[in-house]
Amino acid sequence: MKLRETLETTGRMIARYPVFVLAVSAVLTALGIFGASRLGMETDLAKLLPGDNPAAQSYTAINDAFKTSSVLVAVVEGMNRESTIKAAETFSERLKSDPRTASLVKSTRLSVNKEFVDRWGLMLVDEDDLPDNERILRSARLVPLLTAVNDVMEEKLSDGDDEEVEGPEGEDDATAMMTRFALFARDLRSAIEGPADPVSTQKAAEVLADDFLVGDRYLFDPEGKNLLMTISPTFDIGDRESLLALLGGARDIADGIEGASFAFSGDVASEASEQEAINADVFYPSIISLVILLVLFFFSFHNLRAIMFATIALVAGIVLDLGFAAVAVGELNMITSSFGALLVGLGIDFGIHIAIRYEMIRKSNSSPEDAMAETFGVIVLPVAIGAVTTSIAFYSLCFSQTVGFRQFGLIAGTGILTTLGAAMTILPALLVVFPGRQTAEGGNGGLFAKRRVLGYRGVSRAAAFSARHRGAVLAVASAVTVCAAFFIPKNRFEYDMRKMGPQGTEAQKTDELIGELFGLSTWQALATAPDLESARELGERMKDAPFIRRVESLADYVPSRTEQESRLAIIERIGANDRLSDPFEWDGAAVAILANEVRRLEMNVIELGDLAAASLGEDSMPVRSRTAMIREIFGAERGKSGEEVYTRLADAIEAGDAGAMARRLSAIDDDFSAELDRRVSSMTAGGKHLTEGDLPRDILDDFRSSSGDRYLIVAQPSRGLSGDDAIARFSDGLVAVDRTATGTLLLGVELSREVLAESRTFAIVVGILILITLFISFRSAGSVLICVVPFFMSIVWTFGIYPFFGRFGIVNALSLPLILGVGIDYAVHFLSAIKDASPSGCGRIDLDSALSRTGKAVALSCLTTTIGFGSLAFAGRFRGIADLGMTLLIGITCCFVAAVFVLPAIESLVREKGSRGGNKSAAEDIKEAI
Amino acid sequence: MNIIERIGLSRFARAGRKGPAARLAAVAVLSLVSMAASFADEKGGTIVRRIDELERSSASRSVMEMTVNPSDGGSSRTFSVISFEKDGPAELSHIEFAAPRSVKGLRILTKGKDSWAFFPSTGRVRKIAGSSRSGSVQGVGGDFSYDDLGGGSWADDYDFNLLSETSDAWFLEGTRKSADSAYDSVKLTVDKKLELPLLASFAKAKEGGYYKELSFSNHRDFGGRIRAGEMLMKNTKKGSSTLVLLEEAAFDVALEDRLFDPSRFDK
Repeated sequence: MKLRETLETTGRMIARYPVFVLAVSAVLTALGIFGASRLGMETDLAKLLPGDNPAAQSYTAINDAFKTSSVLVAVVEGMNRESTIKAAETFSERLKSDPRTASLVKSTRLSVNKEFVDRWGLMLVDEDDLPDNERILRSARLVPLLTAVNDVMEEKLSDGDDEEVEGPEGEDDATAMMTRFALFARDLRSAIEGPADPVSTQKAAEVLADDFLVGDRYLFDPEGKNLLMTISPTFDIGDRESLLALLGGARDIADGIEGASFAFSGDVASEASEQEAINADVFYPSIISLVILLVLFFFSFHNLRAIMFATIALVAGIVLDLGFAAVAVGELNMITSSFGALLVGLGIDFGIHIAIRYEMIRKSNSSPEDAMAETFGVIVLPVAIGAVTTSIAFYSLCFSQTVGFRQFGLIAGTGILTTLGAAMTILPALLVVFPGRQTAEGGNGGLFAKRRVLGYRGVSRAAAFSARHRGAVLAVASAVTVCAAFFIPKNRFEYDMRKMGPQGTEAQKTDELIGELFGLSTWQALATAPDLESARELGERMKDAPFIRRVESLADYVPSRTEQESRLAIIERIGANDRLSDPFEWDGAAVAILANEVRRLEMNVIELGDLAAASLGEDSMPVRSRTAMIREIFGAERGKSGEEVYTRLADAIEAGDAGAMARRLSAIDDDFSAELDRRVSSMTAGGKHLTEGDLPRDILDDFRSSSGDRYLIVAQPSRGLSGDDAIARFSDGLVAVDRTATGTLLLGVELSREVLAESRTFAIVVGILILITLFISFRSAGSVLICVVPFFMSIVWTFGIYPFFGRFGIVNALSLPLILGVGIDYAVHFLSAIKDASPSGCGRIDLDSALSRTGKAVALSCLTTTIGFGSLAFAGRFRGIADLGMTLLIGITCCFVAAVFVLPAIESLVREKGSRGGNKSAAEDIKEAI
Repeated sequence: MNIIERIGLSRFARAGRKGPAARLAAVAVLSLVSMAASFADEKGGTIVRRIDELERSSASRSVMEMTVNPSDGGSSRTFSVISFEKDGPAELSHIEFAAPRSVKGLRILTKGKDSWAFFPSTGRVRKIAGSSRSGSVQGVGGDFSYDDLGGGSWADDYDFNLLSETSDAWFLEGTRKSADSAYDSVKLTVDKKLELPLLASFAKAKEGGYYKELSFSNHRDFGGRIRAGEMLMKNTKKGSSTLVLLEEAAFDVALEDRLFDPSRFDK
């Protein structure tokens, strides 16, 4: 009873000194606004993990050592190959010179470095393949060269070796080879059909030599339409301002380049999308839920001022919490960003209970002070119990190992208390200071005085109905529970961080495009090694990990000493060849031979495509390249024509006068062979070993730390990497190779596992805390049981229904402790109301009457909460946050349904059994409990 | 894309080797291959001889579909092939791809250690040199290695012991006989009623023990003989799988000589 008196006194004091209360609240709110303005955003997954997590430590260390591990990927598409390359080069130059982006770009990778390849190209060819190069490069003349290529190809097609067109490396190699010969054929035809002056011929010869030796310097898709380029930023991905500035600048520059379209992906674009989505998920769902709540209140309260005041108190409570968050954690993240909408849904309940009860008491013409005292005496205790249980649920997360969880628990737990505090101070003070003109219904009169206000009597009637038909209700509830339990195992946990963020963004669409066009994923796995040889060894082992498509490190550019020794011996022999010693006589017969060799080359490429179709599939890149450069081929059938590069070249060679063609080809061949010889001589000159010092600066910077003591290994997964099992295998496989392997996907798996384990633990902890709180509050095991049984059923329903709506992930794994904390309130309010009711002589309670007030408050509470969560579910762009909203929407609804239907049925059953027991009346039991 | 991939002048070579097609032939043979095995004990030997007897055929024709589910999560690919087999001193097999469209008409002829491929897209026949039978058939044959069931006899490669038996099945384990054996050990589960294998597990020390499982199911009558309609090879280490569905099969049929003649098999 002392507690009730204390509460009544508190209410009376607030009603007596409302201006003072409001003044203090205004100061606190102003401080909250000041703090909130300094609140930042954090999307770095590594910072959400425990500090001793190897992947998180490694991620941070890589970012420190290499300035960034991130990349902006651009896909460029122009009218044709030439315009695409020009647009990409213009974009790259402007990006490095534009004042908005120059300081943000460390390097751009658009094409293979010409000087480096011209010097070291042969050194980078596998030792097994160098003898073939030696054979092919015995002569630099067109016909012997092409004949040698065909001979080698056919031998390889027939050598019975174990190696196949299989795996990512085989697919890339085959595609690169096909592209190289297609470019060569296309450019040879251009040379034949183009201007015949010496300058043009020399220029064409240079292009041909480049095609033959290097192939495509750019990374085009197999169709040759889209070009991929990467931009390394100078900043860490956590630098939001630079992140948005680079992407914004890149978009502006791209918009200024005519005749080509640009699409962006990679970490930088993805993070920028996440940033926008987080901002949107804090703002829009909160606004939406606030608007819907106002409409709901309009039709639920006589006194519209009370609605406005409850809302003001709620906003003040949230602002205070924001200020607290700024001081306590400094930054919001993927997990904590949803707290605003949650507090709107949860915090408004306190105001509703107080406002409804005050409105009803004021109808009896009590003075404001008396009415407020009575309101506090009657309603604040159950409201506070609900708030404390919810707050405990949130605060229990503070014991989490996961930083994101700890922060969420701290912010949300405090938010419950600040909104409760605001509802207990600001709202009563406002109600007293601005009482308005009371109508007979307790409203304020005025413009909306005649609107129809909902009484929510359906809730109390439903409860009364359930109590009367408890057998049927409990049977149905039990059956539904059993059915729902059947579906609980179907719940799945999402480990793929790509599916937790905002969906349908430009970055995601571009990522999908890159997957389709290039067979690549822009998501990278990273590892480091202390020296080059360790990087080489680690890179080789990472290639064997599941779902790895490509591994790149500095070791790819600097062969080992042993490899270099072996290669140098062969390179020396290649260099010693006199490639121009046999002058080739161009006549009509030679022209025919060249045309035949071109057709032979086409057949070899077609057969290679057949094998690729058999071993890699019809949609594999070599087959797509064949279709684009030659034609569609279905066994013996010819499909749609592609570019027909070989047929058109052969036709061009055979067209017109053979003598004239021989002269033209002779001129081209002279320049081409001289250029090829010059280039090969450059690659074979000196017999020097390739060292790190010979590498281009951008490659060195990308793969070696500035201090020179860390070597980065970058692994790209195949685009087929999707699904829980695959993601987990990918992550586990890499971690098995190197414990410190990291990257966004790996961090996501680590975080998911932490969260999954902890959410289970905390659900148990919260459950126990709630039981203790309930027991302390009711001091009756029977009452606790009456609350817990329907609550347990509602939890089973929730987890049985949810698999039909989505998956659990790192964000909505929070939902179980939250549902436990929030959902139990309904049972507490209903049971408190029933216990407050006066039983008749035979122990019967008129539930319709007993729950008429609480029913409305609980129904409104449920509606407001579900609106808050529903706004997240349907308006949240962040998939993880939307899933959280959906989980809680289902959970809270189930808790409400169970409280309305199951609790009264069980309560009446227990009460009747107690009555039959004859020891004490149910009324005495209840009175004792109260 | 690293520089090496762009420069490797002759790396195309990897793309054009015998492996895929020839090995697909081995996979196609899978459903028909004799499961002869030699057992270390008499009972095991009796079981294997019986299996051998049931599976032996002078000449056979079959139609099958193979679906490869790669371990990298990439899309599955399905092939339909018609296979012709002839018993004799040397392995005689002729495979023709019926689907997908891109490889329709591709034919592989194998005579002993020699193979020929016919490419309908170019109309050329290419002789393929003898290959190692220990390599993987990941490219075309999915999870089947050439030596898994490529026409050889269990008895030639493994010594089998009868480990245990139930009322329905015999459980056998074979250990390698020679260095040429593809696996260190093999386990077989043989259905007593069908007298056919239901499950084969394959182990290699360097793979960490048993890592592949071949299950036989949906046994039904094919031209008067009971055969597994479905054969699923799973690589439990990689996570990939390959399913072979036997659609049609006829045994002891007359086959044209041209099917096994390198100069005429493409006609």
